[in-house]
Amino acid sequence: VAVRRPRGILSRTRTMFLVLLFGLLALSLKPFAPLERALDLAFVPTRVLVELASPLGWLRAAEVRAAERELFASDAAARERAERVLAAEQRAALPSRPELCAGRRRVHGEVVRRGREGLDRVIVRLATTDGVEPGMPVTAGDVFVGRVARVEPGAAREVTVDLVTAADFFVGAVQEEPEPAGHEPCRAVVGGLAPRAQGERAIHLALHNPSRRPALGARVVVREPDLPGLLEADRWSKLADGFELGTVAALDVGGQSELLRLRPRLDYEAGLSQVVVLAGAARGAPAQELAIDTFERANWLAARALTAGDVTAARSGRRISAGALHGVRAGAAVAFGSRLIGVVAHAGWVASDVQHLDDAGLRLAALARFDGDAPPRAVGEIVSTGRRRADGALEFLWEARVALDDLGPGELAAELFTGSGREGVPRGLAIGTTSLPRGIGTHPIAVRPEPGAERPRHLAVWLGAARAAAGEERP
Amino acid sequence: VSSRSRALAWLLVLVWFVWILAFQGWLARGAGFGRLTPDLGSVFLVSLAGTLARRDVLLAALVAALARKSLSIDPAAAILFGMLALGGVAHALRSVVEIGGPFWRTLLSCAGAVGFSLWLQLVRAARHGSTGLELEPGALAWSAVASALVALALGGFLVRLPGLSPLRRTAW
Repeated sequence: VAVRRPRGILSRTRTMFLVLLFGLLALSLKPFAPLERALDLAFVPTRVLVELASPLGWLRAAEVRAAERELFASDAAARERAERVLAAEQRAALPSRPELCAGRRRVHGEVVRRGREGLDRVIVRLATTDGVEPGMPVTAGDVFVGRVARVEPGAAREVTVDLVTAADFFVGAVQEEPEPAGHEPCRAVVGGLAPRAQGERAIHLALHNPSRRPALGARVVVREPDLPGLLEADRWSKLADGFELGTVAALDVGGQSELLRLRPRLDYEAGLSQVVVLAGAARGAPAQELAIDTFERANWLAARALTAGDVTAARSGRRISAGALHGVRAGAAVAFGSRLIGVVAHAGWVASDVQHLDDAGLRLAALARFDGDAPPRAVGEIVSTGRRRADGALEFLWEARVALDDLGPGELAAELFTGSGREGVPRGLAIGTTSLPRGIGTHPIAVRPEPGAERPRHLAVWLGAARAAAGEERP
Repeated sequence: VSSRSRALAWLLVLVWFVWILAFQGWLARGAGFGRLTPDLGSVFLVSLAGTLARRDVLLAALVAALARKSLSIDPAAAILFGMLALGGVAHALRSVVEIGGPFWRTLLSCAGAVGFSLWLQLVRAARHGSTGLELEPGALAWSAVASALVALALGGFLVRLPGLSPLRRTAW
């Protein structure tokens, strides 16, 4: 019996068309890099097509040139200010108390990205990896962060660091103050995250097996046990003694029971920026610091904006004249001088798509410089929600996981720069000025960028990360 | 119609698409229409779909996708899917209704503008998470109305843009 295919309903052409549509649907929702690269090849002609629209850009050419001139004129001062902020941030990463410096070689590093294995690992670029070994403690200021898990091969001077938040991480601890007279200080083990209350945003470190009940609000510091015959991997553990883990807090779990945990001073999820590896014993040696290379010309590629913006108002971004063939990668910062303009959302072969700061959903790691003497602080991640129509301020959501109580009362006037922790975006590019609330929680914040900062056509794309990955030395 | 003049006509379709979309971008930013900007790309595609030979509708959708990607930062796959889906719907409807007429052209342009906008929003949420992304039904509705009005008033004019006559169907 011959089976007749119903013509016009399931013809071969229609089936192929439906398969193509389904494939594009899947690729749109779940990007698959090799297929996207192949599709990019088909869209290479768009690099030429976009030039057809350039006459519309001439309408605003004078305005753009004026904005560029104005920004350029103030750029040297802005750059100097950014470098001062970065130097202050680096200094703040070193231990402040002399006893925490004594007998320790300090190697400064910058968190460049999260590890592929999850949130409890970060990749850190160090000033040098000479003499750095697995097991060495990693700190930020006077706070304990974790331990070196492995030294990555290659010229990028990178190490993987296990954070104290990992479920299988344990460090000896002791209550530092207040110690009741005649009592042995409370000893415990700290590591991993403690359970959260329902709806709670802040994270706490888990406190295991305390020798007695510690006082609420007491500071807990690292005190590794003096065990004879320490394992080879643990031989550096004593270098971390004295570094802070957090303060004791209690969570009411019902039935007159409470769970004791530690409130950390750091946002381990998004607020890690500058760290120090305690690399063995050294007397009187200065800390080895990373060079501040954000404004090194060799790390930037000149590019031209091909469009003034997107075709719809729902997006804010532009296409630029450099792509993967020029070394541009997704996630790379796009700047004009020392001002951040946006981030490469996708790098095509010969052109790239750039998200502006007011493109909803754009995520940045932020570094805040406060008025007064307080050192700059990595405040974690900010997520763009758009631009306020009334005054043109950029709107972001800021999830504060650590309170800024120590910086004074009321809202804090701050200047925001890019922080470390997002590969492709160097630290120290100016974002704008804002007021930050002090409390923990998710806060909407309005950031005022420099006027005209989104207008320039002559841009620069950050290549530092790509060069490091290729094994080239960053200056 | 010679294949040479058809090729030239397709090239002009591409150029017109780029200019129309660039004008749409200028309306959105330069002229301050913002979220109320009509989706001129969808309007032009639907208008063309009503006047081209049926076999050419999907090719027009491909050309529309190429032009749109030239000026947009949305992912190429998402734009291609959106344009092909709109072209596919227009292609399918052609056998049932006269989409070149004002009513269906207006309706399809309006639905295309809304559908395409929602689709791109969905893609962004799927790729980058929904934090910071908010659907604005009011703005979407106004954009749809603006697209419908443009389709109603200018759809007939758009298909008569210079250079497109070799592609217009000559028999019904």
